[in-house]
Amino acid sequence: MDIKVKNLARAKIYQFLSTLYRDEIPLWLIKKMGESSFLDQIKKLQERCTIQDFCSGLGRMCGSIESSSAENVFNELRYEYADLFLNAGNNPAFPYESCYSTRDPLVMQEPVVKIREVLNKAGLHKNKEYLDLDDHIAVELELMRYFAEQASCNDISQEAEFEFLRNHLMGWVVEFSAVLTSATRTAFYRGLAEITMSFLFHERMFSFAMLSQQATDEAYEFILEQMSSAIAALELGEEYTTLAEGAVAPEKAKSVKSHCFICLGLCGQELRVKDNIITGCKGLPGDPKGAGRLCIKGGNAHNNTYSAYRLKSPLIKENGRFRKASWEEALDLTVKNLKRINPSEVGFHRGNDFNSWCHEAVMSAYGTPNKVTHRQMCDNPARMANEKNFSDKRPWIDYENSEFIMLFGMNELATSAGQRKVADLKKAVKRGCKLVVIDPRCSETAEIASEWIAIKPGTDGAMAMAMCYVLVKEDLYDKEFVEKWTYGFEAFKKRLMGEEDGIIRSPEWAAEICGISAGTITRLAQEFAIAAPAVGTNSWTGVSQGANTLHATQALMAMNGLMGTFDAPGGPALVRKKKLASAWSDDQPKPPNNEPKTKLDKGHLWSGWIPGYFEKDVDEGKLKAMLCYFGNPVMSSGSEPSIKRAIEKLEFSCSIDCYMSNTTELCDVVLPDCTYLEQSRVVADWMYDSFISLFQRAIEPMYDSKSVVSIFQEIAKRLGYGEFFNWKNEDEFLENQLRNQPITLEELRKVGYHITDKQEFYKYKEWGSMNPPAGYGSSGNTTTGKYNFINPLAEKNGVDGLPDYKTPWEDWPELEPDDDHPMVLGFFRVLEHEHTSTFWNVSLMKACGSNPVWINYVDAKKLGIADGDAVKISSPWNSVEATAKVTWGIRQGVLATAGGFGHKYGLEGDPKYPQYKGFNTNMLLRPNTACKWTATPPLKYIKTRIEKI
Amino acid sequence: MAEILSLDDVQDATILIGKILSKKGHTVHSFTDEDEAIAYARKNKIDLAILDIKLEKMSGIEVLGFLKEAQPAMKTIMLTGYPTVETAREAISLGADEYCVKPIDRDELEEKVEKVLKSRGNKSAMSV
Repeated sequence: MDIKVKNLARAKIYQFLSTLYRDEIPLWLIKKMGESSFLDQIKKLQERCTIQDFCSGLGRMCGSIESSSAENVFNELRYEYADLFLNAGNNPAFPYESCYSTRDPLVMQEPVVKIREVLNKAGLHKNKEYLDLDDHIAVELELMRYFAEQASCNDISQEAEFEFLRNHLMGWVVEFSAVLTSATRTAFYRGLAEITMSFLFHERMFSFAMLSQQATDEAYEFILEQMSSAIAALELGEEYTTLAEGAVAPEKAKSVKSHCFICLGLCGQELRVKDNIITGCKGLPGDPKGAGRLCIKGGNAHNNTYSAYRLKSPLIKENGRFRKASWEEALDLTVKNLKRINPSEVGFHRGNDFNSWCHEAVMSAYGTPNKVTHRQMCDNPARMANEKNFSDKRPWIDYENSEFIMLFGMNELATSAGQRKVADLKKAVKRGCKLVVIDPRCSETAEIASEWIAIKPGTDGAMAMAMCYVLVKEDLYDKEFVEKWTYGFEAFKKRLMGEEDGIIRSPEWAAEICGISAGTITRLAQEFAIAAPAVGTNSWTGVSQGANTLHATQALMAMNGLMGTFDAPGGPALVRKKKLASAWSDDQPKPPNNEPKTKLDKGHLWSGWIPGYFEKDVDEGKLKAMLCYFGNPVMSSGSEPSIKRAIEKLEFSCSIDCYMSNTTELCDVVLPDCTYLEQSRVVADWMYDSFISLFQRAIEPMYDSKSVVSIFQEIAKRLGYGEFFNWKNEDEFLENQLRNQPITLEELRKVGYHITDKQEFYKYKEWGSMNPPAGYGSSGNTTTGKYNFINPLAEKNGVDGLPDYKTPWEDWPELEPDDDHPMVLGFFRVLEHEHTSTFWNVSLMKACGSNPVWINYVDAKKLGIADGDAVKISSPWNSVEATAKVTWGIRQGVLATAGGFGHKYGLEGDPKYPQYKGFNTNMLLRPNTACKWTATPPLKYIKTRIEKI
Repeated sequence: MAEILSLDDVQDATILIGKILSKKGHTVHSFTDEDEAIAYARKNKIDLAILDIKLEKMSGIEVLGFLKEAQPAMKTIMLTGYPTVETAREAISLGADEYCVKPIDRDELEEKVEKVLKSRGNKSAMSV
């Protein structure tokens, strides 16, 4: 063969391979491949070809094509393409060089930079219309086609071409082919992998021959001749798909001032961006939330964005499997179902609040009253207590000035919610502030505390009530504050003294319940009083996610009420946030609110859709469809098997998410969301100072993903409400929201945040109320303007509103531990993860990739369990397997493990990475169970037994 | 400079690798016998092993398994005229870091050895 002919033949094969990888295999191509003009030549080639893998690959591929009708083959390959390359399956074959440079599932790494350099030098760039990445195998193969065509036409040196082959494709094709072969269920893709690897290895030999001016292998020449002739019959066309002409100079490096949205901490974040690639994250100096610091999650936030497990395209489920869909098709199908079903029978579940004003308004216009956030499964008992009793859900303590800090079940060092606060706590402990941590487990925060109080799970209310008793009985409380700034003290006092029911809430009474001695309780109460007002006590999910904990939260917060520590230097601070203006300008029409005033489920205090009752609501015909945004209710909202069954029984479900998850896999339609680094928002925030923070888009949305505002604009348009959601771009609604602020969007972009009000103490004295003044917001409201010992909502509903201890099983007797299930299991948060949302991030999984179950040394000894043993944990409702971590750092009778684990997708689900594996404690929950006061499932109070396997 | 073990049943190949890498300052221990190479690795620290996939008594993949057992932190480059997807799968699952195609290209070998030795840790384990 003439060298020009050889190069043309090579180009044809590269084009063929690139076409097969760049997207789903189109039906027309499958038909063409099934025609005799192609197949006959392939068979002829196979008869005489001596290159074994190439022939075997061709055999598998063509056998697959001939195995059924073109339509059947097309559909089968569509599902397979979605599983392998769009991350609809749990064992994807990442088609990116970046993923093989370290074998980590991360895209947009060094190879992309290098490929852009090669493209630039060749006078090319990746076609913007091609939505996949620069180091996709289809791009690299098409570039080889280009080189080969150039060599054929222009008789130019092939050194650059062979260098690219050596430095790029040859560096990863072996691993990619091995991964694809191992992952695919079809003979077609297995054959393609074999052909690709075989061809490229012979290309490498060809390059040796060409560079040393030797003859090329005859067997290979035969393949070139026959394959190119067969491929010509497919009429692939002349145009390029993944590449476009013209060198594009790399964009200059820049720093983007933004805020982290991995957890609710929202710390200031500065992103280094080079040529539209985020190369790193660091803290934003001076930002009130993080004070220039980021935790491990924030420092690796870009690896959520660059996780190779991202969803890339809308998906529609057919015959139990996903296939790629266009946005038009997926949105039309979603809205068709929303229109078909009564909005009162549709649930909108959202896991985060990114630009929530938009999607909330769209769903209100649609008319569903069943809108929930993660609130119920988070800390609703604390919120229902604090938001009604004063004016904020979580009164963060001013650690900088504290003398005595008491944290109930709160692991500040791991939960963070703002790195400035964590740093302040560490500094406070270092300077001698007393820190007491009340927790069945010796958490990271307990480790640095002056005292770790290993309380029985679910009994915080008893201990707090007894401490309040000591403060009142010994006359230690702040009478002036109680008289002037509180409501309901006398009733509370009666409760403490046992005047209602004859039960005195004394330390002796509490000691029996919570397992902490009366002496310790008394001493801690006295120390708290002596150090007041520079003291504070607080709790979060550690208490709330037990069972029946509304009154417990009120009890521990009442200690602050009794000592008048609110807004004192060193006490729990009152929140004020400078409110943002509406996203709608004055001349833009506002969407209607068509929500009926009905409540799907009713509790003593909380009413609305209670996801803990999901299956029951579906079985009773109250829910028929779900739209889920950035949520994973299957793993987080209650019994996992029960919620899975609930979604499976729905008539329709759609999920908007960045990754395939235990929830999205059940949905009929999946819409690819982009991560927070690809979209913008502005927030009125607070951390001692009040400030406006900008979440600034650092890069354009990747693949075919869209921002949440864009997605809901499209949904609104199809629902007939498009005119109300008509912003041209992000800047328009951001500018609208900032129009009442002393800073413009342009100015905010440069700094990332703007402090509107510096930290002040005893603000309520100036306000004349515990509620912030007009123009400012917080998450709660006290109807009396004072601190309420009696919960005003409970009082209004005629139910018990006073602080107290209620047993975890008062409303659900089945929850009480017994001889069969004597141990109480709960989960805890680890610094490396945020709920269930970070398990696609390899950096975080490397730091924490499994969740052994903590068991006390004595319990383990009795049960014959050693550290590292495989164990079975059973509840009356299910069982799971885990690995034991034997430690003295947990109370006897208690089991605990890190939460968020148990994914079927991402690193835990991917068989390529078997080292990452854990379990979800929610597998063991009682189905259809939630706190009757606040709707929170008893996530941290599961009766179990544990045994060695 | 690194301690490198080279194993190939063709002595000329080990000599060539030795020459190329010795010039770069590395100490190369060359073997044509699998058992001898394994025995050496069990007693001596090896930074990098360069293994031919096709050997006489056992496959390079099997040798890789034994060597990784003896020295888990050791890095590996597999040499092959032409790997099949099956051998590739086994080698990757056992933690091979790189592939080099025979005939050996001096520049490529030097680059890959430098790259593998410079990398902070082994490539992530991947089970395929």
